[in-house]
Amino acid sequence: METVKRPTTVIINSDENGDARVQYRIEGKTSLVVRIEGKQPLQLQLDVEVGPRAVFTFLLINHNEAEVTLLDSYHLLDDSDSVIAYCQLNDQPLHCQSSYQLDGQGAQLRVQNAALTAKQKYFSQNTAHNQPHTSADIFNYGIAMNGGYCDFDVRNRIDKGCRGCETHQTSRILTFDAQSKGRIMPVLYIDDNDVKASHAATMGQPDAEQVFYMQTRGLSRQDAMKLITIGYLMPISKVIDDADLNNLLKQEIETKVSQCLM
Amino acid sequence: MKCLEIKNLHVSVEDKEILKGVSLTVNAGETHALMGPNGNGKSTLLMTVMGHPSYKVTSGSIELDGQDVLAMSVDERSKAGLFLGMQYPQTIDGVTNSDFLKAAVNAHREEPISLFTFIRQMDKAFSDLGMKDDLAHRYMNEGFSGGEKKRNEIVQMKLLKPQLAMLDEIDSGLDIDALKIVADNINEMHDANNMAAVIVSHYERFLEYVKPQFVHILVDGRIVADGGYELVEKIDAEGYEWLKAQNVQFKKEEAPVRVSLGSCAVNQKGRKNGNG
Repeated sequence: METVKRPTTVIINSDENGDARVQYRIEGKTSLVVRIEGKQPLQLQLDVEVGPRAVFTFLLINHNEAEVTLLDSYHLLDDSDSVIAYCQLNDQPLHCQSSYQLDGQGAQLRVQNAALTAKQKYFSQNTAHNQPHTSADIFNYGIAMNGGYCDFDVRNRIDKGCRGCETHQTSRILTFDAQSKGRIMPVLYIDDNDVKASHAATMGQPDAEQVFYMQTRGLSRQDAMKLITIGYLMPISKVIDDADLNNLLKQEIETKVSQCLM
Repeated sequence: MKCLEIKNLHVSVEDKEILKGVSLTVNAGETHALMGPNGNGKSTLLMTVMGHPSYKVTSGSIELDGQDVLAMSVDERSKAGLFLGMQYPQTIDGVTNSDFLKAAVNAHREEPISLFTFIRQMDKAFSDLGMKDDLAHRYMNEGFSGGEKKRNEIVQMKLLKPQLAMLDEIDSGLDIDALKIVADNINEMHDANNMAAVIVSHYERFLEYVKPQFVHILVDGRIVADGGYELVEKIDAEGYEWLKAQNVQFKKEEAPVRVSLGSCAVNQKGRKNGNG
């Protein structure tokens, strides 16, 4: 297991590793960026342990030009503070199984996921509050277009005795045309009374009144949709404090959305 | 623009006829006030000219300098010089006001505007409207007060420099000082660019500031009276009851038809953390 103490970027090239496993232990205040590149199908197993009191920002950017299966798990120890962001805007199938284990008291987690798909993208996210006074906030923003399919299966669990926990989840999917589909499965397993929990799920098409409003200012329908889409996915950039990472993410979103809506 | 000409316009919403033969001519530099009781077709007329897809033109014509406006897409109408300041401006989450303004300005130009020039123009427009600087960097109308939204419409008008501005109850939600500021900016655009305007308003105070030369009263989908500013004063003093003596048939009061194009927008409320 590699220890990460300072900002680190890792590139996983699917042309070299069709089946990769990486493990990290996070200490102190730091960030980790994982970029997936290449043209071959990839199964990536990623195990991360966030040490006590660590402040951790993780960003995964998927550029692979073939299907990816991502199995990622995170063990968050005492009083750690983690932001985990996914930028899944490539036009390839994806199966993502994520496990977030809040193993230490006071551990905090925020997950921000931006997905754009004209193929099939499946996200299964399991959050387990294994200790009292832990908190998790999960945000999923998906866009399905050109016959694409987006699936968010989001499960948050608080077992008996884990008092003082907070767990929230929000998932939204925009479908751009009648051929595109989405599914959201929001689940909360709560077995303690002294907790706060909520879930929200919305699915639908872009707001036509917003499109009309933008068109009245001279924007073509396509440009209006582009602006709305960028705005829809952009909240992911708000969770990244690092200015360089933030700019990278904004450019990524603008470039991919422009390509998809050309 | 020389002339916007609306002839015998009939418009339906969901198979219900709202406009029943409206004719109106607006020449460059003219300011027209459109008045009338609520729910009689004023907003429908402006929305139709701008091309809202829920308003179906069943007969009649709209021409801008001889060009068929009804054949134009909404954005083409904007580029042709038409502007609609809305009664209920949209909120667009995730899109900053400045990004939207820049995209709108660029949509009207062959070459993109330089960032420096744009910021200078935007800052001036914000200053002219007495708006706080931070509103430029907030999401489009997100969390704006009613008055700020209306001022923001005028900011857009100033940056886009239309030849004909249609302003739908742009005075509602404005306090007395803001009313004067908005009116001054409309007048400035009129004087500087010979901008024509069609202004829907219920309030004499606002119309006193913008001084329309032409006033029209729309009742039950028809223009039933035309005149000059004296008509504003008469309505302010007497309301619309006097029209009944002239055999004007008023539309029966009924629940307003809400027109929606459909929406998936849901604001996140009551969460521990907002998402932006």
